Amino acid sequence: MRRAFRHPSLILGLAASGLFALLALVSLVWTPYPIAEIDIGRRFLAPSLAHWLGTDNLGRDLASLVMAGTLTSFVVAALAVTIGAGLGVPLGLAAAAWGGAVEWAVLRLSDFVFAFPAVIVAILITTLFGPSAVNAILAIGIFNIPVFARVARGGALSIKTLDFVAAARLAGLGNWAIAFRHLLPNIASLIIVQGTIQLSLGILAEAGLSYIGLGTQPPATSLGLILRDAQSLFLLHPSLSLVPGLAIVIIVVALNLAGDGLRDVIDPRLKHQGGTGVTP
Amino acid sequence: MSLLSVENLAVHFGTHAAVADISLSLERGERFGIIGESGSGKTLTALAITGLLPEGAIMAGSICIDDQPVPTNERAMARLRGKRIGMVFQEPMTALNPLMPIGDQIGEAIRLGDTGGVEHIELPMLLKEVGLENRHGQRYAHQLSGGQRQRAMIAMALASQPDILIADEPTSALDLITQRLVLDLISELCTRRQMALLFISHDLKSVGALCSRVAVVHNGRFVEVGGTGKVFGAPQQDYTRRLVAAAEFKMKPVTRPPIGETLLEVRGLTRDYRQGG
Repeated sequence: MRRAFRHPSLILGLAASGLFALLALVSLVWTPYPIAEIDIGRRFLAPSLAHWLGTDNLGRDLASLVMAGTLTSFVVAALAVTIGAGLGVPLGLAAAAWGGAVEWAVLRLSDFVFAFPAVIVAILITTLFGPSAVNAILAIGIFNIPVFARVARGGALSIKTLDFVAAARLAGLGNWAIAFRHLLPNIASLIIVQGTIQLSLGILAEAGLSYIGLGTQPPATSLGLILRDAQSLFLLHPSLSLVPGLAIVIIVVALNLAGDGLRDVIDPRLKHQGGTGVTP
Repeated sequence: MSLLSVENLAVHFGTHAAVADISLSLERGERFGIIGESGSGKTLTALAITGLLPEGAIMAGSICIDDQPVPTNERAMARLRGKRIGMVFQEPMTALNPLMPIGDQIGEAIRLGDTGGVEHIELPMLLKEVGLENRHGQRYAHQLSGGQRQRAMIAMALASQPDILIADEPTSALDLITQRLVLDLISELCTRRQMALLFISHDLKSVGALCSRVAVVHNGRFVEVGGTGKVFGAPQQDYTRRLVAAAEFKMKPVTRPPIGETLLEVRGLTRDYRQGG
């Protein structure tokens, strides 16, 4: 644990993402102004005490919008990670535990899903059900499934060759029990690190989908949607685009730093270096 | 009726034959040693008997327990091998799940081997039987010494009260004194539980100390089978003779005087390791 606090980029990454997550959570109960409140009379205000980041072309408070938008981005990305890990990890474990035809099927399925970027899946879903935040979650979640399946399979394959898996098999444990009792705990660190990285990619993908109009719809908001509203005014009021853009950049960089730091801290190869004193 | 009989066992990887034409039989309570160099097919023989052969290995021949051929069906095999066969692996560090306290792992083996009969076994009893204390059950594999890990491994193998114990080089990762302790433990357990032992090793001394019958394996084939005293005392085959000769321990006097001046000198060397969290 002490090693975690000696890792500056992990601290920085966790602190910055934690700060944005906190802002997002606060927006659930309080924002400086309601985000749907349109007041043309106070549009394009410069940052002031009343409006910390100014107001947009419809007179909405930009600080409130960014807070609520961050919440949407985090929720969409987190649910997408949940979908991806929830389906991908069991698929990857099954591929590693059974091998043979199951493995072949999982790998071909993930190849197939990999061939469709999140945008294509989102367009497909939008054509069928119309644009919404839920569709963005589904599209990014489906995109996450093969990522987690591959990470889980790769990690599990290297654990599977160890004798304790053979010992468990000899004791009479079935494939599912081996996968969940012996393989999953040993690859949990890999999954957590991948989850952090997919979270940042998910936020980026959500911003992208909302920007092209396939994600979150007004009056709800997201960072991508704020950016989209501001793009036509970029030359006149650049700060309207800069604020949500910078927010996205900071969140993504922070999550990547946290993911890299986490990997360094809980890498299985580094794990045995400290605190392995043999006690009689 | 023999407890375990293996006839014409062969294991192939593609066209390469790793094990060929191996036959052996094991009676109740008998101790049989398989000895040979690395890569001679000792471990593959054990894995074939337990049905744990790696993917890509093709097996031929027949393996019977109590004159019943072992099932080829994975599920039936899983039930059978846990109840009849226990196995101790070579490297106890990888044979124990690093993220599970050893008490939980032994407990899992007990649950899986529990037939619901009167011979219900308890974890503390089992730990005591292999010479571990209750507090060791809460430790992780990396917090135990090599000998303790191997004891934990033996406890797992015993959990289902098997008739056959297969030990695949159980002492090669241990120092000499710990080796002796673990061998004595295995010997004692086999006597007390009347288990048959299939002991695989490259160490003639430990096979000699444990087994009454021994097979010498070379290039995947048995070259000589017989009583331990007879095979080691009066080897018939050339390979066995070489093996016995190589195991002899003679101190040779150092005949090379140092040439020139001192090349490397060590004075009061200390190396400290900082204990991380």
